[in-house]
This record gives sequence, C-alpha cells and structure tokens, in this order.
Amino acid sequence: MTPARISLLLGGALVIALIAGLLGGEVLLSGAQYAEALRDPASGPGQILWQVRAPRSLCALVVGAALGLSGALMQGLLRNPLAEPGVLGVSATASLGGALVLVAGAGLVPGAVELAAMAGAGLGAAALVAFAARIRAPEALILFGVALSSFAGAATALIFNLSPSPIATAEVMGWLLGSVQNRGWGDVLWVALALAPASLLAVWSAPGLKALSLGDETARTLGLPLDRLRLLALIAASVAAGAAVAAAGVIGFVGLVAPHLVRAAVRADPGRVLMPSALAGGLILAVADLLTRVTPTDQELKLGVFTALVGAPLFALIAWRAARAWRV
Amino acid sequence: MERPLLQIDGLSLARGKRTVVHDVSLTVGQGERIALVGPNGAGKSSVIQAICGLLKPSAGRIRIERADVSTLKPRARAAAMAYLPQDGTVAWNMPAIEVVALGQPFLNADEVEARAKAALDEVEAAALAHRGVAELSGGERARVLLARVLASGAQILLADEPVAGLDPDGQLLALERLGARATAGQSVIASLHDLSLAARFADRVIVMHQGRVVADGPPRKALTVGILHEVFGVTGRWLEEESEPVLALSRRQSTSDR
Repeated sequence: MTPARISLLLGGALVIALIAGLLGGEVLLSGAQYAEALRDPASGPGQILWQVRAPRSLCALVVGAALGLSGALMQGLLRNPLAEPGVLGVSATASLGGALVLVAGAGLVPGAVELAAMAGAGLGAAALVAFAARIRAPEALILFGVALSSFAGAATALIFNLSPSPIATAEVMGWLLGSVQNRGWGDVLWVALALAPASLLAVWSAPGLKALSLGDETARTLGLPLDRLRLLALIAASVAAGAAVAAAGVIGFVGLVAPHLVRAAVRADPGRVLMPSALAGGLILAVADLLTRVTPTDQELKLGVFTALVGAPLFALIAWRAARAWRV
Repeated sequence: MERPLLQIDGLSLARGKRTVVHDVSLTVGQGERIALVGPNGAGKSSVIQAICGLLKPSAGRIRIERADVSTLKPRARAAAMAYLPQDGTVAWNMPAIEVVALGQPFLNADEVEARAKAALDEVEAAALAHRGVAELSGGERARVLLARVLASGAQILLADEPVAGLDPDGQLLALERLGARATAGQSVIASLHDLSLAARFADRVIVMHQGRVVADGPPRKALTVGILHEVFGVTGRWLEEESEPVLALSRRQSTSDR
C-alpha cells in the first residue's frame, strides 16, 4: 500500500468516525430531531449536535492526530519504537507547564495554558534528545523517560500539595485524567492551529528522520542540515504534544500505537510514517471517545483512562518485540 | 603520488580529556587504496571520524582539495566523502534498496533508484533489494550498508572495519569492491584488523600505535618484522604464495618459553 492510499483510507475512516460521533451519545435523538438540529442549530437537538457532540468529536480527532504525529516524530528522532509523549514523560512535562499556569491563576488568560504546556513539552523533549545523543542504548532512553515522567509528575503533585485553592486542584486533577468531555469549538481551534504548523515542520524534517535511521554519526555524513532538521522535528513534536495535553490532559499510548498501525504500509520509512500516523491517531481517539460515550457506566469513562487500559498491554507487546530485536 | 586529494597536517584529537591521536600528518592522493591498521585503541576510528568531520581536531587541520573540512557545508562534505561506520544497525525495517538510496539524497528519484540498484548488484545483493533490513543476516546487512557507500559516488570512501563480522567470502567481496572503486579513481581508506587482508587489499598501509602513525608505505615496507613485534606484539613473516604475498603471524613467545 502506498502512503497516499493509506492516508486516503484513514481519511475515509475518519469521516465515518466523525459522523458516528455526531450520531452516538448519551441522549438518543430521533430522525425528526436530527432534521431539526440541521435546520435550526439553536434548537435543543441542534445544541446537542453542534455545541456538544461536534466540537467534542472534532476535539478527540485533532488531539488524537496531534498525539499520533508527536509519537511518530519522537520515534523517528529517538530511533526508538517505544517513544511517545506519554511514555517518555513529555506529556508529564507539558502537564507540569499547564498546571503551573492554572495554579498561578492565569488559566483564563487566552493561550496561557496552551503555551505553557508546549513549553513544558519542549523542555521534556529536548532533554530526551540530548540524552539519546549521548547514550545509544535504547533501553536507557526508556528509563530516562520514566525518570522524567516521575519527576514531572512529582513536581505537579507538589504544586497541588502547596496550592491554597482546593478548587483549582480539583480542576487540574480532572484535566490531567485526560478527556475531551465538554470541549468547545475554542479548544478544537487551538489544537488545529498548533497542528497545522507542526505538520508542516514535521514534513520538512522527514528526510532528517530517515537519515537518522542509520545512526547519529552516519546521518551527519549524508549531507543534510541534520541539526536544523532535528530541531524542526523536536519543535513539531513538542507543539503537537503540548497542544494535545493543553486541550485534553494526558492521554497516553495513542502516540505509541498510531505509528505502529501504519508503519508497515509506508515500508517503515520514519519520514513517510508521519502524516498517516497523525490520521491513525485521530481515528483511534475519535473511536475511543465514541466508545467511552456509549459504554453504559454511571460516571462517564475518562478517555485517558480508557486509552491507558487498552494501550498499556499494547505497549508491553511492542516492548517485548523491540527487546527481541535489540538483542540481536 | 597523483594529485593530493586529502591533506592532514599535525592532527591531534581528544575524546573527553584524553588525547587519542597525536600530531598525525598524511597526504592521500586520488585512487589510493589505504589500509589503516593498528591494535585496538590506536586511534584508527578517531582519524576516520575526524576526516568525515564528526570529530573536531584539538590541533591541526584536515583539508580536502585545499578546503578545510570544518568549514565545508554538509552537502559539499557528503559529495567529497562517504562514511561506512563500524556499527551496522539500521533503526527501522526499511527495504534494503531504500537504505542504499540514503547514500545520495540529492539526486532525482529515478537516478537514486538506478544507482541504488547498481550498487546492490555490485555487492551481489540485488536479490535483497526489497527485503527489510531487520530481516537480513548480519553479513547481508553489511553488504547493503557497503552498497550505500558505493552508491554515494563520493571522492573518498572511508570504511571503519568494513569486514568485521563477515565470513571469508564476504570479507573478500567487500575489499574487492572497495579496491575496484580505487582503481576507478576514488580514494579508499579502510581500517582493518586482519593484517593479511590489509596487505592483500592495500597499496599503502598506515600503521597507528597509541595515537601516532608509526609506519606508512607499501605493505611489505610498513608491516616489517620489527613493527609487527613492537606494535602488535606478534611475530610474523612474509610467505610467497602463488601470486599474492601472505603474512603469517603467530603469538610472540614469552621469554620463559625460550
């Protein structure tokens, strides 16, 4: 399958998932109500469709795409199939950035949480790249990611610990669990605005990621402006991960699984995997969100909880296979 | 020597605080076939990496056709030299032909593919073109990575232990192909541990010991009994076998055995 064909296929599946996202939900609407919603967006059914379900479904889609893109970029940059913002602590450093702004009371300043999350993601990702450049062992990178994740988690916990406002704390905790519930058009727009330049930078950096598959030193001898391309990929991964965390909190494993789903279709090329991986991430999260909505539970399942439940065993499987490959 | 292509003057290299190469000066002409030999830690890999621009000299300079390597743009540097590292891992399971194609990222797609195919053919690995590199044996992967360097068309081919881990046929094939490129006018510098192979492959052997060049010349002049004894700690002698000279080595007898 060519990258173009797999993208087309995923794009088609995304449209179907979006339509399903409009149709599915806690409140069952009749055919007449759908017609009313289409005719009059201000009506009750119209409100449900256009102010609740549509932004929520789209938010899941763009957040998933951002995570899928970020995961593929990090895997390429770090030459590691286990890399992804959640596992390696980039989501945790992004959360730390966002939590700092929220607790400081600047949560209502437009863009403050988003930019702080992106900055946090950037710092975390830069630390990982610096580590990977010095220590080649792929297992060591995962351990470093665990340390980064734990540290950022502890710092976030410390902020709650010292925070004078229990309301702010509860708010941040709810956000960190990872969800696209009650997200509006503003959230969708924020992620989309971050995703567009991140995608451009990612595509630009693609030849660098491909060169990096030969190892850092050899890649430097291939004649590409490697440092610049690597920086572009790093910025793209951080912007995408930061935007996803700012909009929906920590949603793990999407960035890990999405590239794996499409890798074989693009013949393992770490550059060509980027956009299909973004589409796959969008699809995964749109479907996952729909499943959390239609699963009959008293309290709605949090999306981050759901993806972790499904994603963690997949992570274990991928780790097992990767470890066998590293042994040879 | 023909037109000097590569000129190294007073090169010293450090890794961390330790100086690993001291005051090395060399001139390499077009079409030379050079074996860089020396015990582990002699500084061979460091010199090769410095020529590629991967290691900054702590003193001295390296010039390619009079241009300082450190000031060359990445693209000009890649056109001048191709590097085959000791570590033969490829991070992703890409088809062999795509890995070979990484040798020349600036040509148009058709030309890249044609060159990659020709290079795979050259290392007798045409059948591997569409196999994933992670599924290849170590020897097959080494051929693919050698093909990448051959496909580059660079003026200088630098190979860091290109025969490590290969079976005898693979070793001879790799050196034969590199040698053929030298005959065609590219300069080849390969670090080697097997002195007999080095003598067979090279028209010039550079012996390094503790970061310095201690001998430089045709195989028989560079690999003398004295050098073998002093640098490698082995005894050796040249045997005349058919058309090619062979170097026979044995462990040096300790004084108590005599």
